[in-house]
Amino acid sequence: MTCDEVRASFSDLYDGAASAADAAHLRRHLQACPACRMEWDTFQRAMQAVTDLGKAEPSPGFAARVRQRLEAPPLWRRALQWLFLPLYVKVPLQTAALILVAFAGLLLFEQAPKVGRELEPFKAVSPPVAREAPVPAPPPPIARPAEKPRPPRSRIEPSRPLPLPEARLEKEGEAGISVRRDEARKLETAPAPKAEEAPQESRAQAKERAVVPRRVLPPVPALSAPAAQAPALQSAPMPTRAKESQAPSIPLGSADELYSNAMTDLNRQSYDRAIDNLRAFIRQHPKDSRVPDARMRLGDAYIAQQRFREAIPEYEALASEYPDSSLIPSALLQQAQARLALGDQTGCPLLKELVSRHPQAPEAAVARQTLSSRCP
Amino acid sequence: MSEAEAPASLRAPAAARQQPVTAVADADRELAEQARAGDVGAFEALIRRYQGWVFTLALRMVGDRAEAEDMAQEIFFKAYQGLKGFKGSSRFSTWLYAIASHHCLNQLEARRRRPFQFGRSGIGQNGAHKDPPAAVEQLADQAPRADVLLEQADLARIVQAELCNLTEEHRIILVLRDIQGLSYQEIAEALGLELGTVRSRLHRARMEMKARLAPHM
Repeated sequence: MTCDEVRASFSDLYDGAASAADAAHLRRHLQACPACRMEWDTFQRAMQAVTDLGKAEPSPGFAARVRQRLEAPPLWRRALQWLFLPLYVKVPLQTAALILVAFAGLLLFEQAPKVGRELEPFKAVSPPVAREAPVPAPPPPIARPAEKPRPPRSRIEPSRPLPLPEARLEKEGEAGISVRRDEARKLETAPAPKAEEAPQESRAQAKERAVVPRRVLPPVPALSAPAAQAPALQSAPMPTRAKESQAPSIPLGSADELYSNAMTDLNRQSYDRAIDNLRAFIRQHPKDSRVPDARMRLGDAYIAQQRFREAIPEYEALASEYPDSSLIPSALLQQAQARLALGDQTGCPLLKELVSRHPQAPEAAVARQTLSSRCP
Repeated sequence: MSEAEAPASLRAPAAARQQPVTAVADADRELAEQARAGDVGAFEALIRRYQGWVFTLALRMVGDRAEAEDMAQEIFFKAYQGLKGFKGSSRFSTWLYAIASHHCLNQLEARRRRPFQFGRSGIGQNGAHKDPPAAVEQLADQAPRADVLLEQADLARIVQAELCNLTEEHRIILVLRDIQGLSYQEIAEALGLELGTVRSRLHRARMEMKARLAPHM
């Protein structure tokens, strides 16, 4: 038996796990080999030192602490107890809290319309007009297209000072808009049917349009009607914005106030007040970025009142002053339809212009349809 | 080596236990049955009976009393929750040793994976353990150097420190055999090892411990 073999058996020898024969061999070798004997002594002392570490006891009360932990209710039960127990304290408290929350909710609900009105200008700033007006009932039905997504307001060209009507008409030529001044004058001097001749149907339609939902473009009703049945307003001279600006009561206020009030009035179908506020807004804040929007809404407000003659200059102004505005296709379409409603065939070139300049615009589809039915 | 020829240490339970084995086992089984039926008092009796054993194992494995006590609590908590898994086919003590051993090993393994909390890389002199457990680091940081301890004849602290320098698998087998006095068979059952593996691993652990303690002997 070599020294290595003997030393590899120390563990068995220490435990008494070696067989009797092996143990005898090992002991004989250890007696004869001082080096292995010294190793064996060291081994025994080291193992004895480990054994002498001995057992230890936990601190007093260990078992009781463990039992306390074992008997502690589970987390979900503790949470339930925390929420509901003792019942006679927590149930009344929770009931009172519930009533308070309900009361607060009721108060908030009552304040909601006021809050909604305060938020209105912010709502109105984003897409100016939703071009999804319902199609007028009389044939031929004209589907009004959904408005194209408009670029953010920051991309709209800043407004310019409000020009006089004469200058505006001259600018139209520059903008390529084919409504000339003489045509406008022709419209102004054209004989108009009497007010009694206005069909009752179109009045009923006007009432229907009066309940057009908010931000819905009022349709031009007389598109399908023959020119002879156009509203009596045809006989009235084409109003100019200069004349309208002399309105007796012009509201004053900040741009936000005026615009916000106008939006609120439009939503309430208070078109007269909306028109006053929009006019005041445009006049007092001509450089505001919302002016194109205001012009569009002003025209729409006139349309809602079947005041086509007054609506047309607003659309013209929008087209001439803001030729890059995303509202141009809508303005052209509205203007053309207003003219056609008045029995003025100059709406047809406007529709053609709309189709040629903005062929991809949703309004162009309506324009094509109108052209085929109204502009032979 | 067949089971019949095996020396007593391979077959018999540890000699340290004073009471007759079967009587203890029967009493444990009865208490475990009562505890499983919801009698926490019965389980407390089992805790009192085995708290020294469990605490000693935890203390020798981690080297810190407070931590060992927490670990012992966890072990008994686990055992209580796992009482449904104790079928009574084996002794309660064997079942508890297995739970305790695995819990200790798992805790040390988890702690070794945690980020290093102490500045020193270990107290081992031979570089065998480059990533010693945090408890060893803590013990080493708190304790004076080994030679100072030797001068103070505080051999027990040196032994504990060197014990913590062993790998977990060597440490636990040395503790179970040389401190707790379990037989090879009980160690094999507690650790889920083959008898031969227990024997060879114990030999390696002892030789390493001897090498570590030799300078201090």
